[in-house]
Amino acid sequence: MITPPNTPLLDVRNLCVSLTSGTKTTLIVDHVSFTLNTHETLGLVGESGSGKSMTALALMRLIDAPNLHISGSIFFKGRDLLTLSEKDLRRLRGKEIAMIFQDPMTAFTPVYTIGWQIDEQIRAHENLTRKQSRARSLELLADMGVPDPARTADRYPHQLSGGLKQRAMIAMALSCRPSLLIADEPTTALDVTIQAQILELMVKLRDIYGTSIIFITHDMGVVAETCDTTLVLYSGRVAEYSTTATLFTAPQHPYSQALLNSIPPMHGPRPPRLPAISGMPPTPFARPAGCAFAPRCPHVQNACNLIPPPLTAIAPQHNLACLRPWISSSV
Amino acid sequence: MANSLLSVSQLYKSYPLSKRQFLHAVDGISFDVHAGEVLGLVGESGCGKSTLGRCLLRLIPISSGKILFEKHDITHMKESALRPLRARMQMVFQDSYASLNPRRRIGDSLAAPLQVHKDAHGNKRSSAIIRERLHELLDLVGLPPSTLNRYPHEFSGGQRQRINIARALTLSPRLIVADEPVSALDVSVQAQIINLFADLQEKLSLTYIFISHDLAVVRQISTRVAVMYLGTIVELGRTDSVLLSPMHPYTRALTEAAPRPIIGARRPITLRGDIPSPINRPTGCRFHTRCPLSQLRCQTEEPSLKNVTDSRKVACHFPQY
Repeated sequence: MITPPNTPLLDVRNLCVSLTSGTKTTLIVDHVSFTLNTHETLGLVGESGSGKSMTALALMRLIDAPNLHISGSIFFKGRDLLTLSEKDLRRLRGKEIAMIFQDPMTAFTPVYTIGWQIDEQIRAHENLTRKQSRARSLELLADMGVPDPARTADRYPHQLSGGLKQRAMIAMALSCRPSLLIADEPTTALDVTIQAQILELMVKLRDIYGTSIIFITHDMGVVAETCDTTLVLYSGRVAEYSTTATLFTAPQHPYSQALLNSIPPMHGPRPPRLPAISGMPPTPFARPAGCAFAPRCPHVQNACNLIPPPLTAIAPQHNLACLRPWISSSV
Repeated sequence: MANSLLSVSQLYKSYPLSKRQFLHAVDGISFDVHAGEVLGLVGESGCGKSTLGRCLLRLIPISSGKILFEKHDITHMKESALRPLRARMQMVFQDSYASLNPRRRIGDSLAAPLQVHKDAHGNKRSSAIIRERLHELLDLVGLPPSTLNRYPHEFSGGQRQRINIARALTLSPRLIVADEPVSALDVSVQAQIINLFADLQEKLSLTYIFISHDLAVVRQISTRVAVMYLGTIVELGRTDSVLLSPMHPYTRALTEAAPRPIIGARRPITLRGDIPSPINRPTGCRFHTRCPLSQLRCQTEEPSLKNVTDSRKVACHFPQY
């Protein structure tokens, strides 16, 4: 499949995940839109319950509950994943789009060796013999910096350290050279020295394999170091979407600003108190009528409580869902 | 130390795995905690920081060594003698939900220590006095009085951690060991709880041992920091001297490995490989297998934790100045 040069690899428009219970429908993911180009890394950040993992699962159409409904469109290489048949989608999953999770222990089945599981994934998508697929698996494990790949491949998941398991999972995800890798908190469970190695590995792999990455994390440090563009989610909605450089140097949404400010600094003077945001994010069931952040926002105005502010471009590659720029310019 | 609240010397804790194999979780640790300070304990998983925290409060038996709390030797003190001291040393855990009985109302969980322990005159506390104390505690941690009649699952992680802090405070302790108390929280809530810890410390002149793997969190709250690696302390000193100009290569690697929320902060990685197993520790300096500065001497001779300045201790043959 050849993609026209100007089409993004992934174009998500008004993605919604709605939960129906009784007669009430709640949007867990509320009109999320973004694009991802080849070789690009997009960060999806937000606190727990902000809908970041739900967005990732919706992208792969991995949500399978009768009361959950996905709507909008997800164009991957020009095709809408939401209209594909299960059979076509199955060919894509694992091969074109792969996913890695926070907990490698639950991503592997405990009863087969690591090597067996990687082989299986390769052979499910490509017409290779057992020998050929094992050779590919070993090569992948070596690429991931796994020491002694042949021995590691014959081990069971519980016999490997957390860092090694995470490497093996990345190897499995990349085994069919996917164009898109969705990584859901891949380093959250790891120690910092191991995390640094895995992050470095992922950046390296993006350059070698040409894989685009969606990086889901709550860690602003990880975002700053790995992502080209970043989407800040708050209560299921996009608060701000811009290049990572802009987000960290000139954040415009009061939530992005507050989030960055509440991280204790590693350098410079220590503030006597951290500028914490009071309260907590509303659940999708108890969202206020207007802006979801309004009850915690230091700049809240009357207009903020009326309708949710739409995501608007305030500069090239900088989208903001906040009324502040418009209100302050008219005052 | 004249004003040391807690004094630990040559503390060991090992778990037998078989007749010949032992897991050395805490491997010869000595330090003092001064009254009114916050000592941060940092290190990666498996370095023994949580085991150490539990040993200090005698929550688990100690293999050998000595712990003095308020000048009392609590190392092998009988449970009955230890009990009154327990009121003055408390713990806050990482998992706020597992720390509370899901079937008891918050009020009952908070009242339990007050019912178990007698007051200063050796009398049982009346329910009116307990009630008054509970309201006072909730006010301290910033929760409404209605909290008392509710169950743990009705609260968010941050609120539950406030409840756990309130419970730790019920008997007016002097020392609180907090084991990763903010690690499970989102950043915006984490900042609230860190501020709460700082406020309470000032208001009630508490002493904390604050265990965390997050250097930025530890830097925010601590007066001094101890860095642990494979069951030992490798560096100890004032927070900013240790974290901003580390002398031990491991401390340096830790500070460099933590991702920073700053654009263009990516640094080359200095530390490769995994942490060695606490069952088969490396000979000599236990960090030599991963150390970028390792020399022949490091493989055979174990460095001890020595003073390099009055307030700074480093366990390295070649400390970096």
